[in-house]
Parts: sequence; C-alpha cells; structure tokens
Amino acid sequence: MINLGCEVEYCATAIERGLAASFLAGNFSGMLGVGGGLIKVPTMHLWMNVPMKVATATSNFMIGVTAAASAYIYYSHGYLDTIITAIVAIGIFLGAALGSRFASNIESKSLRRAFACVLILIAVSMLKGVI
Amino acid sequence: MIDQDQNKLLSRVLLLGVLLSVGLMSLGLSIYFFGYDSLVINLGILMLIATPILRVLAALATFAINGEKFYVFISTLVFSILLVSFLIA
Repeated sequence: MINLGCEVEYCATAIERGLAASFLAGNFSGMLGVGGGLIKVPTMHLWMNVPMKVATATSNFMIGVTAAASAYIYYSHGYLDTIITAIVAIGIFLGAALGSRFASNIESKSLRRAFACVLILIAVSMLKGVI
Repeated sequence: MIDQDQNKLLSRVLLLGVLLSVGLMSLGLSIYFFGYDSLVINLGILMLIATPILRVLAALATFAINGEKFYVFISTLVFSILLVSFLIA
C-alpha cells in the first residue's frame, strides 16, 4: 500500500464543465456500452482537479448506476446474448476484484500511464478494419 | 456526511448483489452446458442490473436518516431517471 502519510486535500472544480462532459459520457455509455468510465476518469482528473485514485474509484462507483439505465432497455428488447453476458460478467468480476486491490499498491503516475495505454490499445483495435 | 459504518453498509449492498448475481450466472452457465435453459443466467443478469438501483435506494435512505436534504434530492433525482429509463424501455 502506498501510504503518503498524510491526508491529501483537494477540491473538485469546474462542476458545470464536469456535468456537461458527464452528460456526453452518459450518451456514449448508452450507445457504445462503455460505461462512460473512459470519459469520466479523464474529465474528473484533468478538468475537475480530482486526484487519479479518487477519479477511478468514483468512476467505478458510478458506472453501475449509469449502465443500469441503458442495460435494462437493451435487455428488455432482447439485444443481450445471455451466454456471452454471463461469461464476460464472471471474467470482469474476477478481474475487477483483483484490479481494485492492485490499484492501492500502484502509484497514481503509473495508474495514469496504464489508463493512457488502455485508451490507445482500445482506439487501435477499434480502428482496425475500418480505416 | 455518511459515516464509515454507513459507507460499509452501502458497499455491502453492492458486494452482496454482485456476488449473488455472479453466483447465479456461474450456476446458470454450468447447468446450461448440461442442457438446461438459460433461466438462471437471466435471473443473474437481472440481479446485476438491479444491484446499483438497490444501492441508490439504500443511499437515499441513509441520507434521509442523516437529514441531508441536498443529497436526498440528488439521490431521488438519480432514482427517478433510472425509473423513467425502465418505464420507457
């Protein structure tokens, strides 16, 4: 556990801009099924003066609620593949349980780098085949 | 603010819901491969969708007990938005 030995004080800023970006994140979340975290974390961290770990924790906390709003719509329309959902959910659950334990042992700077790498990887793999 | 014990209670709601739904999905998936239908998996999925909503309700109750009107208002707003999205589904 990285312990700074002190309480880190911070004050979230630019609430209006954050709200606007979150609205956008919600739209993407509903459309693309990404839970909005990819947008929420940079928004909170880079714009709203929120520390990286607080941003990831808050995003994790919100994603369930954000996703629930659109998940039921897709579910009730029968767009969900039950078997794939179960397999992916179990995998994510195990990974997330591990990841959240690792996060407290990792420096914020490395966490930020990892986040950027994930964004690049996703972008490259999504662009493959369409350009 | 929400104190440490209440926070723990709220995270328990989340954890319990997720554990229950992952348990149901695992069970459903294993019996599915033995030829049963996917009813139990569907229960697990519904439980997974219901978990954050239950959490919002639990937070709403906690804020109400603590008499924090502003956060009661926000939680109610979040819950109403969820409710609307279910009704229009």
